Formats: sequence, C-alpha cells, structure tokens
Amino acid sequence: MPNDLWLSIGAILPIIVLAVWACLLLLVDLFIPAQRKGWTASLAAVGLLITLAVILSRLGQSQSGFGGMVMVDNFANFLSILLLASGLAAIALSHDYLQRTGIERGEYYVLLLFSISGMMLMGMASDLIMVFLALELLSIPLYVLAGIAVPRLNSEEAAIKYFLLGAFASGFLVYGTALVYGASGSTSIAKIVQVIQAGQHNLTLLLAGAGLILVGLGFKVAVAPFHMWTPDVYQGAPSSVTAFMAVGAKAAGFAALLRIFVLAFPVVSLDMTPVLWSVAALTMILGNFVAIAQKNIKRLLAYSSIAHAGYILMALTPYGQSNVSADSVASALFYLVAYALTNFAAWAVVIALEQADERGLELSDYAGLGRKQPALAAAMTVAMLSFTGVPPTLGFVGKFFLFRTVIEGGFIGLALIGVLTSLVSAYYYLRVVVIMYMQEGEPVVRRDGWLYATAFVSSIGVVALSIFAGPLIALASRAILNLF
Amino acid sequence: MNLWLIAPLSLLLIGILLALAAARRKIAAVRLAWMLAVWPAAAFACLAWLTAANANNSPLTLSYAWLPSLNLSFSLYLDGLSALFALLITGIGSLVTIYSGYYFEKDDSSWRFQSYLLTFMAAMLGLVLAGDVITLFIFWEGTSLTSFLLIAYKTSDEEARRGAFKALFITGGGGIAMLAGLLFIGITVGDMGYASILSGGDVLRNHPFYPAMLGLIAFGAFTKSAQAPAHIWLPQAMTAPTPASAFLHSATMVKAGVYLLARLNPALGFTDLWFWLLSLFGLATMITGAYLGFKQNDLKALLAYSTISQLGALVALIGQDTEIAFKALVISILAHALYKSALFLTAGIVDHETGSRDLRRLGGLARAMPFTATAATISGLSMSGLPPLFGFLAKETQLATSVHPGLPPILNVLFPLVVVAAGALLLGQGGLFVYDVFFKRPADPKHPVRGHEPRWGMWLAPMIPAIISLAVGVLPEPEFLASFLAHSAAASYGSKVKVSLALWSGVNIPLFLSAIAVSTGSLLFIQRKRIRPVLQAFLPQFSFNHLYDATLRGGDALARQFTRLQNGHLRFYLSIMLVALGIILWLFQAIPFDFLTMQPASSLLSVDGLALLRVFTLSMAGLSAFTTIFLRRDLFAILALSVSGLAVAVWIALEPAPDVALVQIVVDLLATVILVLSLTRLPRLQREKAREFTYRQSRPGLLRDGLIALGSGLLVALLVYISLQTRPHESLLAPYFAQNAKPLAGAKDIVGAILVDFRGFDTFFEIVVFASAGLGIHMLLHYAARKAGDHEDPEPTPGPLKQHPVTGVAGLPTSPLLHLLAYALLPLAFLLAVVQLMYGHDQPGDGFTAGVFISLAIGSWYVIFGYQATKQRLPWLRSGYLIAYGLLLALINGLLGAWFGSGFMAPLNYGQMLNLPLPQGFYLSNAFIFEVAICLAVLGGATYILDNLGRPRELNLESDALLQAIQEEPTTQMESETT
Repeated sequence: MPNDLWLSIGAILPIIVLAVWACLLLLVDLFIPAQRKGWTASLAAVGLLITLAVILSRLGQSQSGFGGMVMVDNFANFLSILLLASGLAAIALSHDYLQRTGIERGEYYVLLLFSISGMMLMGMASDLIMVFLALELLSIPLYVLAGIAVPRLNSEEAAIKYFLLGAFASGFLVYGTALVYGASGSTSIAKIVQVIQAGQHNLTLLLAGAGLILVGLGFKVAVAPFHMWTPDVYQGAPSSVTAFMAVGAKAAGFAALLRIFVLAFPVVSLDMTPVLWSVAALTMILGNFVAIAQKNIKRLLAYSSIAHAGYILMALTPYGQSNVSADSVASALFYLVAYALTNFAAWAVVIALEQADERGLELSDYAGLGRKQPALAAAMTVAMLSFTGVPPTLGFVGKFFLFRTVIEGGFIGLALIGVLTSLVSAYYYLRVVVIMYMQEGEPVVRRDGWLYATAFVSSIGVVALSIFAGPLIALASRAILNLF
Repeated sequence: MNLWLIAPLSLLLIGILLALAAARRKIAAVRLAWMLAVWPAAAFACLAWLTAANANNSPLTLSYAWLPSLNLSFSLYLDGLSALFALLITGIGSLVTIYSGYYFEKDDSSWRFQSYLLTFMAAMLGLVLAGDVITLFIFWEGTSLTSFLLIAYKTSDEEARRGAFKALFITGGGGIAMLAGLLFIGITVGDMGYASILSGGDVLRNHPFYPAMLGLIAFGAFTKSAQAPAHIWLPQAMTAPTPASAFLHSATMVKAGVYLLARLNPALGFTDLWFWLLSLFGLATMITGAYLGFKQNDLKALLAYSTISQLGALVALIGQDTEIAFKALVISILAHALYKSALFLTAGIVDHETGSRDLRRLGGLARAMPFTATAATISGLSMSGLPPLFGFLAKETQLATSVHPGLPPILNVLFPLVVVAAGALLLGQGGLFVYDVFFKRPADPKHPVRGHEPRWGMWLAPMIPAIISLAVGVLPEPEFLASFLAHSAAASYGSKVKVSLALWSGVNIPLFLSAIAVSTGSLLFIQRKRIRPVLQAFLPQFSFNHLYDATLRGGDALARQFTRLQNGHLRFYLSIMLVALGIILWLFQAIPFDFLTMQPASSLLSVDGLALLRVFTLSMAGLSAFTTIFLRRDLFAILALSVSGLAVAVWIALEPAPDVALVQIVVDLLATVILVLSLTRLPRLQREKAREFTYRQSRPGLLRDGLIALGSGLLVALLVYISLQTRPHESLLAPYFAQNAKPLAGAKDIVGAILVDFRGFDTFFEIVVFASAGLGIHMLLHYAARKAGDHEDPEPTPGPLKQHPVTGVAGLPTSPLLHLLAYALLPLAFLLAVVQLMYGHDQPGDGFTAGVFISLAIGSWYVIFGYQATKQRLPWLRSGYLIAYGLLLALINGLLGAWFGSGFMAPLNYGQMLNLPLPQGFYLSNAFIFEVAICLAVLGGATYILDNLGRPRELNLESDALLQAIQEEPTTQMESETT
C-alpha cells in the first residue's frame, strides 16, 4: 500500500484503536453474563486509557492524513484528551447508576466508545465531509444512548426528539456543506482557504453555506434558538448519558465550529459577527433566565448547559480578527475543560441523589444535604460556584479568559451581557447551595465509590486547577489550529 | 520588607484554622475568643509596624504571577490608603472577636461564628491589601459570600435567610458588574496592577468607553456601600448577629465601595462625570439615610440608616476631588469607624442583657450598666458631631469642604444644606440612642426593662474605640496620626494633602454652619415625641422593597414565560429552528430578493419541443406533492408521492440523463412498494390514530404550519436558484470522464464507468451499506417482534400450492388477471436484468438497476399473492445467501484485479485474455462480474426488506392499549411537567 496511506492511518491511530476496541468489546460483551457488566465497563475504560496512551505518546506532532481530510494537531489532541477523560468520567458515573435503575446493557459502553471516537474525529476533521461523517458517528450512538432506558417513556421521547431534530440539523449541515462546495469548489478547508485567498469564491453562497453550517453545529452545541431539544432530552435521557452528552457533544460541536470558522470563514466574519453576537447573547439570556424557573435539577442543568454554550460562542464572535482568533480558540478550549470538570462534579452529585423512577431530582430533594453529606454538598457547592464563575474555581478563570477575549475583540456590549447574565445565573446556582445548607431535609443518597470519586476528583480539580491553571492555559494556547 | 506583606493575611489564616480546629473540642466560647483575637491583633501590629517602618511612604508591593499569559497575578499592595482600612479592619476585628466570645457565651458552636467572622476578616483585609484589580475582585466576592454566611447565621430564621440573600444578590451582582469595569480598565491600560492603572489615568479618562467603565465601577461600589437606591439590603442585613453587624456594617464591608472609589480616584476621577455621579448619589444617600434613621425604633436599624447616611457623605467627598475633601474623607472614615462600631457593640450589649432593642421599651439603663453607658455616650455624642469628640472634627471638615471655592455654584448651596440637614438628623439620632436608652425613664415604669453590666471583656470592646474618639479630641494633637492620615489622603487624592487634627480652627463659616446643625438637631431631639410619629406615619420608608421584589418576580415571570416556549412539541421546536435560519440568512442578505427582477437565463425562456414536456412534468411533480398533503388515506398519499418521484425521473430523462432517470424510476417504485408493504405491518388502530393526530390541528395552526413549510420551501428554492445562477456551466469533471471512460475503463457509458471503475471502491462500500440496511431491518423487525412476544406466523414451508389461500396485501383478494401479470413479470424482469448486466457498460443500466428490477417483480408478487403464497412459490429466494454471495464475489473480483492487473479492482477483460467467443458488445470483464455482484447484493438487500415488511402481523393488543391511553390523555409527560 502507498506510504501516505500508512501515514494517514498512523495519524488517526487513536480513533482506529478506540473503534476497533469498541467492536471487539461488542463481541466480548456477549460472553459476559448480565450480572457482571462491570467487566464491560472496566474494559471500556481500559480501551479509553489505551487510546489516551496512544495520544500521549504522540503529543506535539501534527500531521494531516487522507489527502487533508483529517488534521491531527495540538488542537485535535487537546480535544481528544478532554473527550477521553470525559468518557472515563462518564463510565465512572454510569456503572452503579445503570445497575440500580435496571438499564445496564453491555451495548451502553460500546455505544459510548463509538460516540467518543466520532467526537475525536470531529476534532480532527479538516474537511466538511469529514465533519459530517464525524457528526453522524458521534450522534447516532447518542440517540440510542438517550433512549436506552426504554421502556421508560421519558427516555423514549428524549431519544426520538433528539433523533428527529438531530436529523434535521444534520440536513442543515449537509446543505451548508453543499453550498460551500458550490461557492468554492471544494469541501476541504485548506482548499477553501486557497480559493478564498485567490478571490475566486462566490460570497453569497459562502455566506449562506456558513449560516447553514452554523445552524447545524449550533444545534449540536445547543445554542439558542436551536436549543429547544436540550431540556427535554437532558431530562429524559438517563442522567449518566446526559452528563456525558453535555460535555462531549458540546466539545465536539465547538471543535468543528472553531476549526471551520477560524480557518475557512474569516472572510465572511463581517457578516457572521452580528449573527454570532446575537446568537451568543440570546443563548446567554435565554439559558440563564429560563433556568431560574426550573425546579428539576436535570432541567436546571440543561438550561445551564445552554447558557454555557452561549459563553463559549461569545469567544467565537471575534474569530475574524487575526490578532484575537488565537485567543478565541484558546479561551473556548479552556472553558470547555472548565465546563467539563464542573459538569461532572455536579452530575455525580445529581446521580448520587437520583432514585428509581426519576425521584430525587427536584431541587427540594437537596434540602439538608449539607448536614447529612457534607462532602457531597461541598462538591456540589464547588460546582455551582464554578458554574457561576466565582473565584477560586476553574469557572472563574475560564470566564475571565472568555471575557478578556471578547473585550479584546471590542465587543463590550456582549461582554456586558455575559457578565450580567452570570449575575442572573448566580441566582439559581446559589439557590441550590442555599437549599443544601439552609433547609432542613432528609436526602436519600446512594453510596458508590466511583460516584464519590468522580465528584471529589472533579471538584478538587475545579479548585486546584484554577490556582495552578498556568499549564492548562499554556496547553490551550498552544492548541492553535493548523491548516496544513 | 515587601515579603512581610503576606504576614497579616497568613496570621488571619492561622486564626481561621484554629477556629475550625475548635469545632471538635469543647472550648469555652470566651476562652476561644481570646485565643482567636490574638491573630487579628497580631495582624494589626504587623501592619502598624509595616506602616511605621516604611519611612519613605512609597507603596509596598508583593506579587506572585498566577497566570502570566492572562495577565493574572496575585499581588498585594500597601500604601497609606490601604493601611488606614487594613488597620481599621484588624483593629476593630480583634475587638469584635473578643466581644463575640461573650456574645455567644452560651452557644456551643461559637467556633462556627468565629470562623465565619475571621474568614470574612481575611477576605476584607485581602480586599484592601490587593495589589491588582483581579485580586481585589476575588476578595470582593469573598466578602460578599462570607457576609452571606454571617447574615444568615441563624439559618432557621426565614427572615435572616431572605436578608442574607438580598445582600448577596445586590452586592454580589454589583461585584460582577464591577468585574466587567475592572477588566475593561485593565485591558485598556494593559496591566491589572495598581501601579499601571493609577498612572494610566489620562488614557482612561480619554477613552471613548470611559463612561461605561466608570458606570460599571460605580455600580459595584454603590451597591457595596449601600448608596441609594441600592441601600435597601443594609437594614435587612441587620438580621445578622450584632457582632457581625458591628463589624460588617460599620467599619468594614460597607466601606469597601468607598475604598474602591478612593483607590481608583487618581485613575478615574477629576472629571465632570465623576463629580456629578458621586456627588449626586452621595448626597441623596446622605439625606435619605439620615432621614430614615430618625424614624426607626429598632436600635440596630437606627444605626444602619445613620451608617448609610455617612457612607453617602464619604462618596460625595470623593466626588469633589479637592484637597480638603480628601482630608475630610480620611478623618470621617476613621471617626465613623470608631464611633459606629462602638455604638453597634453597645446596642448588642443592650440587646444581649435586656432582650430588647426597641427604643419604645428601653430606658434608664445607665445605672445598671455604667460602663456600657459611658462608651455609648461618648460614641453617641461623637456621632452627633459635638465637641470635643472626634466626630465633631469630622463634621467640621465635611462642612469646610462645602465652602471650598473650587466648587460649582449649585453645590455651594446644595452640599452645605444637605450636610447641615443630615448633621441635624444625626444629632437627633445620637440623642435618641444615648438619652432614650440609658438616661430617660423607662416607658413603662412598672415593668422596666432590666439588665445589668456584662462581663468586662464585653464592654471593653466598645470602650476602646470610644476612648480613642475622646482622646483624639481632648489630648494634644497626635502628630503621628495626623501624618498617617495625610499619607492616606494623599494616596487617594494623588498629590499631597495637609491634615491637622486640631479641633479649634477659629470662627469661620463651617463653625457657623455647625452651630445651625447643632441647634436644629437639638430642636429635633427635644421635639422628637411629636416629630417622629409624624414621620413614621406619613413619610415614605424608601425601602424599595417592592422594587426589589418586583425585580425578582419579574425575573421569575420572564423565566416562566420563556419556559412556556418549551412546550414539548417537536413541530414547534422545528419551526423555531427554521424561522431562525430564515432570519440568519436574511441578515446575511443571502436571499437574493432581486431574483424577481433578474433576467432569467435565455435557455429557460426558449420554447422548444421539450419545453412543454418539462412544464408538464414539473407541474405533475408539484401537484402530486401537494396532493400528498391533502390525501387522508395513507395508502393514497404514498401513491401520490410516488407520482412526484416519477415526474422527477421524466425530467431527468429529458436532460438527458437516462442512467440517472432509470435509477430514479426503479428506486421510486421500490420505495413505493416498500412503503405500501410496511403500512400493512402497522396496526390499523395506530394508523387511524396517526391520521387523527395529523389532522387535529386548528385552523390557525394549519395556517402557521403551512406558512412555515412554504417559507422553508421558498428558501431552499431560492438557494438552489442562486447556486444555479452562479455555478460554472461546464462541469469540471465531465470532460475528464468523457475522454477517459473508453480508454481507461473500456466503457462507453460514462455513468457505468464511474460506478464500477473510477469510483469502484465507493460502489463496493455502497453495496455493503445497502446490504447492511437490509440485514439491519431484518434484525430489527425480526427480533423486536420476537421480544415483544408477537404471534409470528410460523415460517411457511414449501408444499402444495393450495395450502394457503391466495390473498393479496392486507389480506385482500386479487384478480386472476393480476396473477397472470405477476407470473409474466418475474421472468421478464430477469431477462431485463441480464441484458442490463451484459450491456450496461455501454448502455444505460447497471447492476444496481438490474437488482432492483428483479426485486420489484418480487415485490409485486408480495403485493399480489400475499406473503405466504409468495414464500411458497419462491423457495429459492434466500436473501442472506444472496447478500453473502454478492459481497464475496465483489471482493474476489477486486482481489483478482490485484492479482492479474495493476491493483485492487483494476480493469481486466477476461474475455479478451482467454479469447472467448462472446457476442458483440459484451465483454467478460471484471466490470461485468462486479455488476453481477452488485446485482446479487442489491437483490438480497431489497428482498430482505420486502420479506420482512411483507410479513403480516397479527393484532398487537399491547400497542393498541397504549394508543388508547394516549388518546385519553393527549398531553405527553413532558408537556405537563413544563407547565
């Protein structure tokens, strides 16, 4: 076989390892008895660790493969590591939860691995076709995972809603890709850039294409007004799936948005910026305001995830300014890490409190947690403070970085909206804290080592990494997008 | 020496850890308090030493780079201004710590309060020692959070929780706005440290966004320092235990805003906007607070409002930006901190010992508690601004600023007026506090409020600041204090300030004004029994609570309103997405509204023979799509839809693209057959229900959906239109294939060549996908049915034909004529398929169409003969094997290309190689074999689908019951949850 094919395969080796492992796991799982699905979970985690090792052994290189279809650079590696870590956290959250809610199936872990491989591919994709393929590869397992609690009606409803609307969003993405192809004669980002630099593109088509791609990916990352599915799906899906989805799908979606927009579409930034501006503003306002009214913790976190997508999108707004775009990418990546850690800390607590038949998910169920389970309550408090952006948490550093990027880009109004909606968010995040510590109650808590470990590791990470955030920021800043 | 800056904070940290450690041991509250008070006292000493030793008065700095790439660092900064605040915090903090020990003497968990208090103290100390705006912000929010804990200390008290939340909401929120302003400043100057910011005043003041920066900073400072109308949180925060109130709401937290403004004055001040903003808010606050304080009956509330008043005065002073104003500022800060903390602490003693803070009940306590009364009297008189106390000096200098010649004329009237009025009201309040509590006869002499002197440590705490208040006034002017205050003022003013602490400065206008204030105040006090009831009855409270509540309620209502959008209806979600997309494209002006005026390409207008046919097919396509919407029987709708597909096929054929047209036709037909068959698998009730749901829409709903659909359709049409307008007329690829199809692939039919040669690898994967789809459907339906426990019919066994009655799809009888047709159709289809396979390389048609042809014929059998009979008549039809053989053949064929030829799937002509006598036009090439493989795989996949969908399904009682349930309760779970 030709040499560059080997090189290409080498480039995406982590994904191949993960996908092959997932396929094998599917077979192995057949021989694992239903009561021992912990083995499947452990094997899935091992697969993630092996993949992680493969990536870590090749850090710092950047290579493209398959004729420029994929680009494995620091950016992609950063995301892959984030996604693999999220996968590990998701598995830690899942095993006990699935078992006690009676929905543990071996396929669960396999689907998780497939979805992660799709997300990793999304980070590497440097061709619009590849973006689409990756999007489907990550979405289809997620659709199934959302509905894995069948025959619970909520879960089924979540899956079908996610699937139908997701299919539409994919349609937008494909259509946008087609229009961009029509505008530039190529789907490869590198070639699109060349055509644009040579001035041979069709601006109207490019704009329309970029708009459609924004809609398609905006759906995945849940920015308003393409966020409508989020609360229903987050609530209906099993909590462990939601926790993973909230991080993974968002990270992957933003990876694609960043790569496509920062590299290929600076030329349309003049038209794109107002749209990004208003979408980000709308998302922050809507997400935060609606979260106030929520009484169910899953819905609350769903809206909060929408709001955070708005904050990240805010960083993307000045993507067209060449002196800020590097910061756009870095701050978005950094915030994704902050969000992921915080998110897992919060969801670990949510899952620990969730009872069968979706009980234990109301905010009032958290009353008295501060007295009965001080450690869990502390983890939740850290998560809520980090979501709000209060120092010393990673959320603060992340938001600081985002706001700085936006102000550097000259969007004072947007930064103000961001700051003020953060204030609104304090209202509902702190309410959780107040309920935990200041109201009397007898919360029922599930004791599980992995859950606790996830909660504590994440929340300690949220605090510790904020104090020693230097290396993480350096990593995020080094994850600059490569074109060739 | 710079390194020592970390010492005060570290000392407090030790204190906090000790307090936490005390949680597990039973240590008496008083003992614990003395143990803990050592640490803030040590911090005080350390700060005093640092200040005294720092002879040249240049700021001490200590910086640790936190995140250099973000310009974030953790840094400390000590100059005159921060020293003044830091000494107040640690000094009064030590006293309050001791006092708390006695206050919570009977409370086992006094460690909890002490740890909160010390944490707050550390945050506050960090705030004033911060060396850059980010460190400042971090500690700022720290004070908000810890003060929340202190105010809500009595967690079981609903009122305390509400008050705490209100304080946090307002001050924390202000803090976040302030962060935006600070970031703004930092980025403008290029550095977050004070050194750069304070010297970057000119850049900031000339920046176009200066008003925004100032507004944000002022918002943060005003909310923290309880400036009207944000003062509303302070009175409610009085639900905190009194030691906390004494510390937070007199000496420290509320002064944080004043500190911030004083700190940033060199950078942001000296402009008209600064002047007006601070003066107006300050003066309004000053008079509001003084007036409201005079009305109160609760001792703590009275003190809270007088605090608000003084905070207003401080803010107004900063706004003036004159030397004398800053002199007045530092003196007032110190004087106020001294007398107000003492007053709060005595109020706490009174409350603690008598159980009441109500002015109407208290009286005559001086005899029972002489020391407390002494401390209260000195401090009260100091608050009233009477000589020879420190408060007198503060008021005098405040009044002096008002006659400073540099002021605009309006302020020359307004400022003295407000100061005099507020001074008079404060005097009245001082009188109320001192006389009515300690000296007046109790209101109810028969049941006087009884109390006695607390233990000495408790009254010592207010006594010390009271004595200082007296000492500064009575003793000869303390030189070190004056020079210290001068440095503080200079740090804030930006240039040198002269401070003298002499009480007597001659007969001048301030003295005259002071006399007016004192006499008015005395009059107010004497007539208090008449005036206060009137004030209480008629004049407004200015609590703005309804505004605050309305804001929160508004937020809630807004949230609920938004939540209502989340109604659980997919079609609604989708329409929002579509509308948003339309708006985005409209924003881009990507929609070419000029298409109406555009000249269509001339080829579109030319009328030739085919034009009529084109118009016909187009209208057929449109019409059938339209009909599909209105046909209520699903079967008819499917048929109508297939007409649309066929019309498109005709259009393609006219292009002319016969290959594509052929594929379109067969796929359209196959899809129709599959749809019809799958209908029979759905339970009848389910189909009816679906129809009912679809058409249950109200008229406006239908209209809305119609409009959205129409809009989306138009949008897509326009996008297609513009892409057609702009795309190159000549395909870039077509010439290459036209030239190379014959020489490279040996095919005249370009489409065929592309499929099996140029993109053969893709085609290989596509048949894998198609086959997988067939397999997937089989697995899904087969196993889903088995799991659901459906009564599947047993696999029909080949046997005598008459065993099963011949009925068509859905068990309907079919005519013999149709049977005949079906019998004839199958061999014909085979013939056609063979022809296509053999000559597809040069003619339209290929393996795919061949496979679909046969599948179609078989599909018609399913429709006409029914499932059972078909299975019996076609025993050779084993879809799984067909797929396997097809894929295997394709693989071997490709590998043979690698073996004999230049690579995987490389073109080979076996007929030529073996010299076989073949009919003309037919080549036994590996392209042909590939076509056969495709045909087999497609046939296998398609018949798998047909077989599974054609299998009739018995009544499913369970799903019918479910449907029944849905019908009775039309809203889904989520919808009901969101409302």
